[in-house]
Amino acid sequence: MSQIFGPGATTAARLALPSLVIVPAVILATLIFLRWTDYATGEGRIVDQNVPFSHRHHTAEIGIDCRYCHSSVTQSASAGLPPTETCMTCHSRLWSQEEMLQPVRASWESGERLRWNRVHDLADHVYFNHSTHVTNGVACTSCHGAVGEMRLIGQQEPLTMGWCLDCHRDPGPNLSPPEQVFSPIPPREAKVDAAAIHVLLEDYDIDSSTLTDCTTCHR
Amino acid sequence: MSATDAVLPDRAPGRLTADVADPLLRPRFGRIWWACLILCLGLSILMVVSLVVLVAGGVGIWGINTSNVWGFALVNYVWWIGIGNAGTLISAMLLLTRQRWRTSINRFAEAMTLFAACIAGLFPIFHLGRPWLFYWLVPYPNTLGLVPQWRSPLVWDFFAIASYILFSLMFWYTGAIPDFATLRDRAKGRIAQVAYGILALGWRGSARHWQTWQSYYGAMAAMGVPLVISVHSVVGMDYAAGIAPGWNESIFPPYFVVGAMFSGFAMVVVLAAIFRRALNAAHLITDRHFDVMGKILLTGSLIMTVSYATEWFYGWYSGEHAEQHVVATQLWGDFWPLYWGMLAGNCIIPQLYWWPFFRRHLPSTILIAIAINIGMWLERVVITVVPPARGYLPSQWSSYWPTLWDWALFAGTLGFFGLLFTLFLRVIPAVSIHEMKEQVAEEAPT
Amino acid sequence: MTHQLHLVFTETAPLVAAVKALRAEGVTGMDAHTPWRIAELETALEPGGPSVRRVMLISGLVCAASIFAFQAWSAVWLYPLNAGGRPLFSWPAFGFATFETGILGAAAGGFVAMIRRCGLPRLHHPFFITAETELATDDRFFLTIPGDTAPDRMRLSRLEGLHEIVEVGA
Repeated sequence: MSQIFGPGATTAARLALPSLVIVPAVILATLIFLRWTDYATGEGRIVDQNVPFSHRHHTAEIGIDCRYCHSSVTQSASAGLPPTETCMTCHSRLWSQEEMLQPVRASWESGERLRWNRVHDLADHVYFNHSTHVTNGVACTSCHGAVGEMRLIGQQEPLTMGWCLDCHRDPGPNLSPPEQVFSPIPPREAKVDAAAIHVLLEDYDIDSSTLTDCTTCHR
Repeated sequence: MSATDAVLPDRAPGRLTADVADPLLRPRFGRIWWACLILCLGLSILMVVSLVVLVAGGVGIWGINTSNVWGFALVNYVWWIGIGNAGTLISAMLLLTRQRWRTSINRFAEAMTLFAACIAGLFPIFHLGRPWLFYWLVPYPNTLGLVPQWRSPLVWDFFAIASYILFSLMFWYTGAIPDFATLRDRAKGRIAQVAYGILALGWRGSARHWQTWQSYYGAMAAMGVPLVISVHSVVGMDYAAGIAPGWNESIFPPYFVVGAMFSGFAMVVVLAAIFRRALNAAHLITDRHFDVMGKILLTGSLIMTVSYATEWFYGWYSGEHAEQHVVATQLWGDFWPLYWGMLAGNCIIPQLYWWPFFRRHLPSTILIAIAINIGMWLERVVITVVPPARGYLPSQWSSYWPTLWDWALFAGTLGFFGLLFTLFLRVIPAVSIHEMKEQVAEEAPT
Repeated sequence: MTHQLHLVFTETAPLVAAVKALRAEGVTGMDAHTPWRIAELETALEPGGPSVRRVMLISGLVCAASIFAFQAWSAVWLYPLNAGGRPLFSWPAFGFATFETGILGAAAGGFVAMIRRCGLPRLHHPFFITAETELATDDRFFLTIPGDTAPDRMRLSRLEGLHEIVEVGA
């Protein structure tokens, strides 16, 4: 008798041999898929803050403009976070004893700035300029979502490179006319038609052929 | 014809099986083998250490600078892939041209290919700086919205090397399946029976098996030759697609292919000598084999000499100052000892092969083959280091010195190659048993 | 277990002659097991199926065409990028990946076709049931005949160069 293997070994080998390819392929496919999920991109993530600041209340409900707090958004790369003084223009009088606002008053007294936790965090090798976007018709809500509806601010978009490229390859449909750029809630009207897109591209003088150059974002 | 003149052993098939297979099934393998293993293991640990230090510290621990961005990484990559290209080329080309002496050397030449190609692949990956992102070279559905840049030689390289490694693995394994079956049937120990049994996949040597096997193996050999030529042409294109004077030359792809065959054959000579000594297999690898390989090396040396002369000629003939300057720097600049060392190793010393004595006298043959390997390594140093250091822009002129870690990684990869080869000799028949028996049977007077 | 006869030969020529003689007498279902390839056997026995080379050709062409199409699509439509003023459809540069992938596809497709056509992996097989057949990978040549179609022993023993007959199965 010189059978080395039992009858089951053939079946085992016939399953094992394709598995040498299939198992790694399934693992790789899973890893690739995971990169697309909200878990990896952070889409839909809400970040805890020391002060539970409501964008919905301050913008859509009482009508403060985005630029009141994010004052450098039209001039510089960074939109800017407001100093404690900006909060205190109102909150030295309004809700001045509110427990929720205790960190703001502490900051005001000590002179140490408020610590906010970053929500929209791009990779360090990406150069993103807020002023370039908002002065060329990309509305705040195009990337940040309907801020005017969010009690606590969250990340609305995946912020992946592919997502950036979607717009850089074809910016037209994502442009807004100047009066809507700082609207806290995106207009409900239907998508703008091709003629309107053309007009917007002309008005903002956008040359989309260079928008996907590597050096546009990686400098 | 004397016994040492024959390319095929004068032995019965059963004897041949025993000659090759039995040493592998012996429980002990001798002190020299263990000494080799421990030496190579030590060097392999050095390789791992230098890779860990590299990943922790970044590529700055190497001697590269803003002009010589590649340095040893590209030198060693090309050297290893050159050696790696020879095995399949030798095996496939000799099979297609029906060279009878092929069966003694093809198996370990293919193993050499596989190991060298894998080691070669390490260098460009670790040179990336963030080696863990090497998979960006593969087109896959990524969140970056990107695909590899198809016009980049780095991407060509990735496709070439990855295809080549997988192809070589399949070619090598297919060739070895019948031999695994032989080992399975000779093994007495349970572990060896099961291990070789799995590797043999249940090969029974039936007529249908052989017909299908032959059909596949022959087609693989026919594809192997153009594949190898394309792989090393792509390596040549890494340089030729660059604009540095001394790189941007259309001669590079063919010149690299011949260089690869040349260095690879030299490595086969060295390994064949070690193998013959280690397994006491002078009847399997005869003096005649070294004689034939010596002639091939001589031919390679002549083609390399013509290639170098062509480079000098084109440097002069181009009328381009920068080209002429690069040639002059190679010949008489800071690195002249390397260039003249290369000419000695690749062009002058191999001329000894004109004399039959040096082709058949084993120590001489090995020393000449080692000289060729050193010469070919120096060639890659000269090609990689001089042109970018003497580019069109004098402000970018620089010098290059490898650091300790450059040397450590190179030495480590040599050890790792040795480790893989030592283990290979222990577990896989280093000579294709079934092909050799087939040859012997065909030659036998009937 | 099926009943089988293994005719054992020590030389190739008598094996080939035996195959031809038995085929002429109408014996079917024969298979030979040899330590190396014997080209004459393949024509003497019943011819096998189509060559794996057809699979290799198709698989290689499909892989090459797919990767070329993918390169062209991604470079021209997905991400048109001006690299040094080269045309977007720079097909000579696409040739490298096309060729390498085509060869790899042919090799991999052929490998799968080969082991499938050989019926491998088949670790457990009636052929292995007797220790005698271990020599089929060394220097003995086996001609296997199914018990029900085999001629009687008298006929078989008249075969030139027959070394022995091994009978397996019930």
